[in-house]
Amino acid sequence: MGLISLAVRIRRGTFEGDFRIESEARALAIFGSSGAGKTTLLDAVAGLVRPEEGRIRIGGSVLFDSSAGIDVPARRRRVGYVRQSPDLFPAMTVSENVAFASSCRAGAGGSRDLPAALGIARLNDRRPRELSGGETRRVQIARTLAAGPEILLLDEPFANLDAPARREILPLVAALPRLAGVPAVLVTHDVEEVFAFADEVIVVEGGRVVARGQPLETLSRPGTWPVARISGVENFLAGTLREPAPGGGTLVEWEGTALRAPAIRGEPGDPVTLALFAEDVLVASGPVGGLSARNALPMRVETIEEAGDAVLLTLVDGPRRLRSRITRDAVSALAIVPGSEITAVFKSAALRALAAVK
Amino acid sequence: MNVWTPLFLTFRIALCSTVLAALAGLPLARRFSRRANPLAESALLLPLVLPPTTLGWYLLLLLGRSTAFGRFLERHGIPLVFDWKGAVVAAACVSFPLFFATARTALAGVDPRWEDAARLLGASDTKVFVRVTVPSAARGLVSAAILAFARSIGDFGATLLVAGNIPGRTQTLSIAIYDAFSAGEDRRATALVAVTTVLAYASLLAAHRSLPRRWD
Repeated sequence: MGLISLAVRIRRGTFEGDFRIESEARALAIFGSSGAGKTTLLDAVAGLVRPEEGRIRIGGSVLFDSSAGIDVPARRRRVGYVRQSPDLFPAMTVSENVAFASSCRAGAGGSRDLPAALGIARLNDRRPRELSGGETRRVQIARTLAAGPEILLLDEPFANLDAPARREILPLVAALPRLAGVPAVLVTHDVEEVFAFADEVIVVEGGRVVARGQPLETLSRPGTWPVARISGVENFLAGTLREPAPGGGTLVEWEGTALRAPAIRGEPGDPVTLALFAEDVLVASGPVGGLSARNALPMRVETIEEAGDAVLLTLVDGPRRLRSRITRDAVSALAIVPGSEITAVFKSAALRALAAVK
Repeated sequence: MNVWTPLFLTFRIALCSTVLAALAGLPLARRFSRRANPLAESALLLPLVLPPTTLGWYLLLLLGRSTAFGRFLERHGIPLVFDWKGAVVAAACVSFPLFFATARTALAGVDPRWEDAARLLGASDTKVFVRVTVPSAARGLVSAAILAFARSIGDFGATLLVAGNIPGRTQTLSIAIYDAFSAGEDRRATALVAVTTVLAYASLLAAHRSLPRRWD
């Protein structure tokens, strides 16, 4: 019997979704672009939206079953739902918000150490409107866990956060299933978050599940489904960590060549996957020098595809393959044709390590 | 020249009628804050538009000896007609629509996200309303009570018809002023007017100070 088992048809406004999910994962990511129905799906699990038909089971409890006439009201579902928009009670302080949650159900209360682990103990007497975006999110998580949920749903917990706040919360969210001792579902459209968080990923598109599986396998499988269109990431480079690079950063062994990446935690020999946007790969028509970019690989142009108002090049060199997006103008200026020998150039900062932060 | 008796009486009546209007108005405001019902709401707002004497006449018909309800009240020792309790009922009726309309707007302005959040945490409907909805709308609800209180202080027509003009028992400030004016006691009328003004101003000031902060 799976942890999450659902098959529902949902209609909301003009949106129509037909989701079938069976998962055992304690950390499940639902990955898709906006409008794919991710939030609607979470709303249905939490009991805020009533599916047209189907059934929803979490652990041992059936929450919804249209054929059996079961529709457990939201307040009896024990589904912890951290919604995307801030929804802390404005008239209560942070500690009152959390205390409200622990007072709602028998056996609730959550872990005593949780506020400390979430770094919100010092915010106790503040009002919600005095909190930053990152602090609000952490209090929302603490409040949700204080109600003693059996499962935790996180709807884009990093949306509307600036980069520093996001960096600060990502490892925290990644540690949540372990920290809180409950299985968690993360909804996101960011590949990095999927890798940091999930044991399993489910890809949704247009109200349907289009792929599922282990994150690396599922997301870096090229061409089988439109992951690049959702995430914007065309290049996934699977390599192994080498020693720290002299002068900062980390060297990563990738298909027989050494790439220079930003500092990555881990031991030499650890596997690592790097994400690289096609936009971040520059193309030079000959050998290059005098560049600040640390990675320059001689490659050959294999194919040239039209991609909207730009052009997508596939570059190869032995086992190495890269995709580069450049303007049509650049293609003609550099006289690039299939077979051209070029140099692919990218900054080390353009490489994002997709690794478990756990 | 006693101005204190009508002052205290008026204060007591206005306070009781505000409580009464709020007790009746809050659940109704809650009911109609999320789902509009023009038919019912118009009926509830009617006392605002009707002349107070019209309302007084309805109350007399309802509470007086001519109805079973009125006789029932009298038999059980709660006569309302020509009694200060009748003045409370009259003032509560005229001030009810002000409380109801203001409170409904205040409750409708509460972001449903907060109520959903409380429900998701497992709170019962009553708990959601008492702990989340009401505090979030506190500013508007206090304003509603102030308006109801102010309207109660100022009522003349409905109170006069239901409770009459009995000095020391049902003679409120506004009735006492009219009484003094009719009797040609200008000094007494002036003193009463001054006292009324002070009461009104002090109440507003107190209410303003007790107004909760705006949270969002």
